[in-house]
Amino acid sequence: MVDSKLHIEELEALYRRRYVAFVRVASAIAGEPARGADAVHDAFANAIAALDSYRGEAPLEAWVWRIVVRAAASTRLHKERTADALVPEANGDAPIRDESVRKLVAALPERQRLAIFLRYFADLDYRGIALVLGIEVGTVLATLNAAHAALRRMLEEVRP
Amino acid sequence: MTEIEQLLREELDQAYPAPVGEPDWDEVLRRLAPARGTQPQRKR
Repeated sequence: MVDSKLHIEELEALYRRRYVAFVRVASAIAGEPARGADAVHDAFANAIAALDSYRGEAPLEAWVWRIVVRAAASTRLHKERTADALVPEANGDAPIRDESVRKLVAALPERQRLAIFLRYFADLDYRGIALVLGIEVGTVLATLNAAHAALRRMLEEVRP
Repeated sequence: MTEIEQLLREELDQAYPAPVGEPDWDEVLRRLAPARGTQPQRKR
């Protein structure tokens, strides 16, 4: 039987330890910096509410990352339906080049985009990404390779 | 780390800056409370 009290304390410790990574990934997925923290708070509330369904088959962190990714993606879907926005919002006076990079990333297929965010913003290893996305480690490698190739091509086009 | 990974990390760091703001666990508990119909409780 799962000890819920223990897991809630573990969740809080995980939240505090990895807050910046969670918010950064969630913001990137949501395409709106201001919605990142919102999605993370929703996700952790959802995780506490769903603790009974956690069976310990994957590490707690991987289980939580799945919930965070889902919450952030839901925010993005809502935004797309309401505003037809596919490109993340600029950070105020962000340089045009940075906007270009965000557009390039936004143009990637969803799985490649998520793998890139989890690899570079959460520093997850291939196995961690595989657990979060529910795919094989080999598929993670292939996905990241494809994303790297696409981004390298696109970056060469926008490089000054 | 390969050259493309290094380049990508630099580009992504600039394009998606680290968020500002501090963790707020109480905010998590506030969002949990309405769903459960209970008051959030802080451990002491």
